[in-house]
Amino acid sequence: MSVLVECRDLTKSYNGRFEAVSGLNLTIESGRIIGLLGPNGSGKTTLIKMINGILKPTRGEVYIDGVEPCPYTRSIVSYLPERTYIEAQRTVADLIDFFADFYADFRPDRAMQMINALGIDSGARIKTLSKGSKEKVQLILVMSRDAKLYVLDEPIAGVDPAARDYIIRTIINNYNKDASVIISTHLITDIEDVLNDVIFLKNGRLVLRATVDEIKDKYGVSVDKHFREVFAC
Amino acid sequence: MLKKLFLHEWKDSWKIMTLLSAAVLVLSLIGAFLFQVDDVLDSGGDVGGPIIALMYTSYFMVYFLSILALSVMVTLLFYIRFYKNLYTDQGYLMHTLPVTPKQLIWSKAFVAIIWRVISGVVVVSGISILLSAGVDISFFDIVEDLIDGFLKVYEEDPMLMVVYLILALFAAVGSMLFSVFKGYTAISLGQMSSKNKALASVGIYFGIHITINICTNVCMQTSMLILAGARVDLFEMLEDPGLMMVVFLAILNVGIYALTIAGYAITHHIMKNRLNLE
Repeated sequence: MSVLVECRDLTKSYNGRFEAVSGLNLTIESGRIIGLLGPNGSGKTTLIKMINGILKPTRGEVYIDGVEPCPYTRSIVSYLPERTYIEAQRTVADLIDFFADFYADFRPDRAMQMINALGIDSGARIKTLSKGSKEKVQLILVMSRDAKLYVLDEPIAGVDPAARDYIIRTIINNYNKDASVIISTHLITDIEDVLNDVIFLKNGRLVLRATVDEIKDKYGVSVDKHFREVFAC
Repeated sequence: MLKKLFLHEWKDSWKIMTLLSAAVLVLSLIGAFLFQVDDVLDSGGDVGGPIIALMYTSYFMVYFLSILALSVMVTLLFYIRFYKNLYTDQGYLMHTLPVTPKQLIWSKAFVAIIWRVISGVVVVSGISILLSAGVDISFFDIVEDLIDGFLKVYEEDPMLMVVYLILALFAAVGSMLFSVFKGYTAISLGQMSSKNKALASVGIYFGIHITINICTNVCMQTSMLILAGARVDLFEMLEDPGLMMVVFLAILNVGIYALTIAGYAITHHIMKNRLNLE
């Protein structure tokens, strides 16, 4: 297993005071599915943005496959943000062309297959799709890449349980097996079974880094239960 | 990657701009036709006076609005696209493409400038079509007169003419770049605001505009005072208007390009280091 993500003293502060991520030291190896867990405001999204180069660290470094975020790292990282980022005027087919144009590892046939399986019209404009369908289209685009690292920020938030199952199945069936998947979520029960590792963040600091099996062996409880204990108010 | 970004930007913007450009050209042709009809009616005496007057008034209102729409849209549309694509939710896609901020900026700037050139040509052609039918002045005659004038000066002082044309071309390209980057700078600075980013961008845009105007005026006044202090005879300088124009264009170019480079540097720096997507 090679190191895919390395954070060294990674810190992001806003207005020079509030530290959203504070002195984080972390490595993520390839071939793992990692749950990035923590309450609201714990720094999950800030960490994800720094991994994707959308935010610059205030202090410290983040390396993806040995280099700081740059066009190369973006070519190997497939990122699903927590919000709808696709232009409403575009059609689903336009988006598939767009992804195929920019990402060498994008598989249009795989994307089209999943779009058809969901019964979504590839000629439909994004603005005509329901919120759930938009989220599924985004996920399909992201998971149709043979990336080295998938970073999924709240992929199952705000969708019904049936859609959640579909999204988790899509992630598991489509990710490149040599790659790693970082999933940020509050809905631990839904994804617990597919996780290899978990990272607990609290106030921007690393609270726990362990495998799911270690938590079960050491504490005798599920990840969800342990999360509730650690973050009890 | 720059080519791909450029093609997608073009694909997303060409429809509305083509529609507006076509509207101006079609309305110009309709105007030319109306003038021809008017000539025929005039030759047969005064026929349907008020109706014709109403028709002309309505036509000119629509024609003026079409030119206004094209002129406003060629600036506004590309500012809005820059803001929406790069600094709203769509930025999460654009800034995670395997491209550099430089490529993102230039792909948008190139398309914006190409459309400025096209719309300029469309407006000039449209008005020329209308004028050639209405006041019996051919556009080609105007161009011919201009070329004749240039050739005359060229024969007198070829070097001065070549320098003048080069500087004028640079100034034309520079002023388009400056206009594009003035907007990009305002939008980029505005996105750093914690709320009301669009409003902040508009405020900063007008702030930049007013500041540049004030600075230009101060510079002009100061240079006049310096010249007066140095006892330079302005009337003597005006005896060689060609040289005056070249000096003026050279100073203009320095100003325009210095501001454009500053605008680009600010935009690039913010996009690379100070991105503030919510």
